[in-house]
Amino acid sequence: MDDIKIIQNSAMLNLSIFKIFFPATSVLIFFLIFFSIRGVPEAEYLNNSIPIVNEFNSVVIKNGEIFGLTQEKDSFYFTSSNILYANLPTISEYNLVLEKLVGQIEYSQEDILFAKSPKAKYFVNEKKIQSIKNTFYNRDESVFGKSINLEINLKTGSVESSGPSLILGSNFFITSKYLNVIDPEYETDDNKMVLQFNDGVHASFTPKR
Amino acid sequence: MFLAQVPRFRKYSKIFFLTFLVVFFLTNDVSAEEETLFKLTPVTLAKGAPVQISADSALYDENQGFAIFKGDVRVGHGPYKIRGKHLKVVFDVTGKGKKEPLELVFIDGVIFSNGFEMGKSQKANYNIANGFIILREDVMFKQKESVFFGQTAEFDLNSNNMSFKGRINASISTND
Repeated sequence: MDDIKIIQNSAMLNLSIFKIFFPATSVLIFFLIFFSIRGVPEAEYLNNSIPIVNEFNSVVIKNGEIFGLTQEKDSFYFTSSNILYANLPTISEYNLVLEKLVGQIEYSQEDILFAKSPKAKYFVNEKKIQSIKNTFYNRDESVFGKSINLEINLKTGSVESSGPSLILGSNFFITSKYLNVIDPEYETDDNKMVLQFNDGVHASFTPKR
Repeated sequence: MFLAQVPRFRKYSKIFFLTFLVVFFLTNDVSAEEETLFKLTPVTLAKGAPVQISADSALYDENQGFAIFKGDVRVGHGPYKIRGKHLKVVFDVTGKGKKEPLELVFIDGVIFSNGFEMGKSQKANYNIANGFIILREDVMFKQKESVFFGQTAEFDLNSNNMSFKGRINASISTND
């Protein structure tokens, strides 16, 4: 009889441990997950804590879109079919993987640079988009470009390529090792960006004659 | 009678003298503008031949309609070769123009060759549409073994002629 009582007590004890232990563990796991994702940028994007900024030198990342204004007051807009977040230990090292990136920088009403890249990276802290293979062109499609290792600085709006670049027009092409797309020093109504080529420049122009 | 004509003579002599001076200086100017013509070895440039340029650096400004090439600048346009340090390519940015290159402007030293004759100067303008190359400042022109020095040389690539303007110093080889 005594033996039966001992077995019953031990079973009740086990039951009470399961009742307390499992809920407590699940709550603990929930809080651990909650606090671990709090520091990740996507949590901030999703809870709408970042307002739609209309100030200069601003970048907004929301629902797969990156948009804002450079310090030169040029607006930009980029979108990606898939934004992947890389988990890195500190916020300064965060970067976003942008697949099938398509976007534009509007330097002026007449001059808009359109850019496409199959895969690019956005560096949060530096406000820069880096992509390996790129195509870009301006609004009237008078200039079409292809480059390797293109860097789009969303702070300044400048575009720089440290790899071989090709610029094509209707009757010309220019190739070089390095390419910079820079703001002209003067202001005109239909400002177009100036292309600066460095190292191993080769050009071909077809004249009327 | 004779004495009465003296003032009139003095008056007209001044006019004659001034006229003489004007005519003298005018004729001198005309002689300074004299041209010396050279016949270049005929070469043909295919229609629509592209202008090929290689350089160390370049700047393409679509707003202002020009491109600047710097460094070791080498230009090839059919049989014509031009080499310099600073080249400005001027484009046709008018409504009708489709940004075709109109003119090549060299400063800071330039060497031009058609494969047979050679010209060298400080500045040069190559008007692609008209087919004229004008070399300016310290011009040297070499044809076979003869060398000519002057201030301006104008190459007409359509008629394969070259004209030297102004005073010429020459070193002519007797082997030609």
